[in-house]
Amino acid sequence: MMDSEKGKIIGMRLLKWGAAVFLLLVTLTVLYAWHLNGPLKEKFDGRRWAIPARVYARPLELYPGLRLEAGQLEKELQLSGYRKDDRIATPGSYAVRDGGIGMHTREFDFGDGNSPPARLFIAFSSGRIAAVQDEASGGTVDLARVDPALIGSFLPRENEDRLLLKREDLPEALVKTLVAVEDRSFFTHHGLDPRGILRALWVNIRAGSAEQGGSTLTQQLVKNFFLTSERTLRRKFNEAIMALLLDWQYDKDEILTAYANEIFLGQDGNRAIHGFGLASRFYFQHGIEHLEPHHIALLIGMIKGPSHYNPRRHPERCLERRQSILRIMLEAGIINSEAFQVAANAPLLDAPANPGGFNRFPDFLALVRRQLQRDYREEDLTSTGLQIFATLDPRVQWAAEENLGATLAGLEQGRNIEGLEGAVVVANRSTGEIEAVVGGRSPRSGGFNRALNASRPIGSLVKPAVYLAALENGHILAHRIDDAPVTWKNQDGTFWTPRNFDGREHGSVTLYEALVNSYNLATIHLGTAIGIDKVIEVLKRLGCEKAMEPYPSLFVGALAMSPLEVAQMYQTLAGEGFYTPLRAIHQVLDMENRPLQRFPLSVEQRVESAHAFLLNTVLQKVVQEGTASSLSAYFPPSHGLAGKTGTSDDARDSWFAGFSGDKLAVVWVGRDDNAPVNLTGAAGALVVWGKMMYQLDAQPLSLIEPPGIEWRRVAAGPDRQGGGEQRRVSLPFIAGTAPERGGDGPGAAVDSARDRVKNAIDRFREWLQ
Amino acid sequence: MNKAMRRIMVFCWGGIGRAGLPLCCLALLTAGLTVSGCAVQPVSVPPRESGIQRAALTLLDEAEQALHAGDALKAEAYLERAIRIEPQNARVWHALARSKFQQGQYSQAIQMARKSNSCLPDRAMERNNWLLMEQAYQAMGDQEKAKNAHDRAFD
Repeated sequence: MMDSEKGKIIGMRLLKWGAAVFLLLVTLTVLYAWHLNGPLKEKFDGRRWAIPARVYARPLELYPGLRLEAGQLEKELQLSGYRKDDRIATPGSYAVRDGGIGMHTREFDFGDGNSPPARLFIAFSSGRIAAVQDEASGGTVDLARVDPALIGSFLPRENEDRLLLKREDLPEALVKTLVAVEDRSFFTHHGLDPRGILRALWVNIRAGSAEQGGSTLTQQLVKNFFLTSERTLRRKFNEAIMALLLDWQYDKDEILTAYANEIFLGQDGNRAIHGFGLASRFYFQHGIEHLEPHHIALLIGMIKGPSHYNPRRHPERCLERRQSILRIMLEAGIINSEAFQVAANAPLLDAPANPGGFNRFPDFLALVRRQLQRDYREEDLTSTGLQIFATLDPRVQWAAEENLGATLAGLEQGRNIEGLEGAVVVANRSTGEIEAVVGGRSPRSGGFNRALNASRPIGSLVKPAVYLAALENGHILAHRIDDAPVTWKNQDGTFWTPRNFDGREHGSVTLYEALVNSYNLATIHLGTAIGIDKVIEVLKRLGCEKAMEPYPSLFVGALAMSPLEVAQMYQTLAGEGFYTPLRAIHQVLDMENRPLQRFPLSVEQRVESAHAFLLNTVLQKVVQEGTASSLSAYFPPSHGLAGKTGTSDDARDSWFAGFSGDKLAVVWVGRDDNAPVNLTGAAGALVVWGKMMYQLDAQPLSLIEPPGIEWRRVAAGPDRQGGGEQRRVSLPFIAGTAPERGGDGPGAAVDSARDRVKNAIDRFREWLQ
Repeated sequence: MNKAMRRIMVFCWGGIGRAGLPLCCLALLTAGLTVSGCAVQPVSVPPRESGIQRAALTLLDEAEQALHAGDALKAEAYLERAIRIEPQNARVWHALARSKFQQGQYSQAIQMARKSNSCLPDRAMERNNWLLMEQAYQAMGDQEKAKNAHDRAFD
């Protein structure tokens, strides 16, 4: 009896202690849960993911008359991730038929309104679009816009990329399959599924290996969200508590949607593919709304091991897994046996691997990033889901890359040079939109971007500024200057004795001749006569933002610039006197397609039309008969292209800058170590320019002649004393400044002529105001 | 403006460059004749060019509607697309000048109007451009330049 009482007392005490300990444990657990719940809620209620900014190429506009061939369109569509599908059943597909291209465009929000999907047929004839037909209405369309190619994203540090989906975006079959395969009681459990764990345990014991995980979707989500993959008890415990908390506070749909966006489904280089939305794009090139049962089975099957079951690297394994998922779908009644048969016989991936345009153009992206960094912080770019509409024209970019690489290889072989590098910038002549940027011979590498960052002496590319300054200060193209030796004493006491490229002096030459043939000595004499500050002022007006030293060597190009900077300067000439800031971006939208920022076209007249016209006429002559006449290998003289060659000292840098009716392009060729390459502008850069512009079918250039221009034939041949006939050339003059007939020979009264010119220019200015 | 006429004028301007004054006169004469001819009988335009023109016109129409509705930003987006398709269309640049004016960007409005005037000649547009510049200068408080622009519109 004593014993039993003692036992009772001990029992009571134990019970009390037990209860106390239990209460303590519960309190601790609740406190701990409360501690865990903070970050959980923060993550779940806040912006859950860092969504990288996406960069798109310019959208392709299709209209009758556009110069475009079927093959080119097909290449562009593939870049935009279009699938070849003869039925063009779903958006994002195309078919080649009847000599044209049928296409089913995707819905796309350009920021100025949503373009609905459309089924179009594009007919071609002699290198142009002949008609754009709307297959739904049967009528023709004046203008159609194709959703642009995604050319890159600015990934956050973890390199995660995803396309965010909402619950209603998730196809029911996908949801059902996910639940059937990963967590059968998802809709009924409370975050944990003890029966599931037991079942998994049983299956695993029977199979002798880890066939099934007992984790619920909620647990998997928690694990992916917060926890490392270490397998400790503490982590399991945290996972369980957080799963319960999540399930308690959020509804199943929210958890499901988060899961669908979070799940890791493979790797694309250093980019991690997360979520079903991006995975669908990445593996099947279409949106999640068009997933068929075999696609769904593949994606759900990959959850277990995204690299193990990668359909591209391990197709057999992946197929086996897909078939087993399909069987589960059949058993669960998600598909019927007919659909099962179709799906089981479907190929793993219907379209061949299409790399698309993703980060294919790192050199251009670098420019986009540079333009954005002025206005956005790094974390804005990598996390807020900005949508960036860039100006890249894939066709131009391809042509620039191909021709630079091929031409440099050819030059190295033909001339026994090593280590040549190069860079190309192409812009739209009228809008200043940059269509292509090539920073070197390996355009995929994203290495040193010479187009943006290589600052090299521009040689004779500077000369148009000297002649423009001359024209603005009372000179006419028929004026004569001395192409005679000159020696300059530097501040340090050394001497500078520049020479002409051909090593000869050409005596008294017209401005026109001196620029067409790029005579150094004449240019230095001319520049000195006008004054260096005037030349510097012109250079600045043209768009050169470099600090410039007022030494006469500037007249012949002792000025280091990057190809992009040169392009900005020549854009003002190409724009016939209108400065247009070069742009790589049209606009930036936020994640919900609301416009954040536009980079509008802007123009500013910085050179009077008449002066621009005179100068550009000479730049056309440079191509027709001057230092760039070798362009005739690619274009007939009637094409009217304008340009200028540039060669730096000892031929270390070979430049060509020029424009056609539609494009401005600048090419640099040289070596990274700045060693001589023995290439003039014409022998190196010009060849790249010519081949590229030929491939791009550059449009003829017809300058618009402003009112008040007179044309005269003047003697412009070499004025060799006592020798030969004067060559006569037709040149433009501002009305009232043209030389008197017959009075334009050597020794013409230049001073009085200059006064006349000045008066006429003043009149012209008045008239312009 | 009639495309065929424009092409002839392009030819004329080119002609001036190549062959000097006599040819220029001849070209102008031809242009004049063609212009008067146009009034009587429409010249058939090759389809590929009319396609380009129609595409640009579609966008110009949209832009005009947006301008009427007071949505200058929307108009601007249309007009920039139109310029990409047909960069030398004085009407498009003029509409862009108006959209800048509507946004109160007067100096850009003036620049765009100048650009429009520097396109292939279009006398009607030229007057509109000068009138717009007059308004823009007035808005900027520059009476003298406004007066100047006014005079240019009617000289």
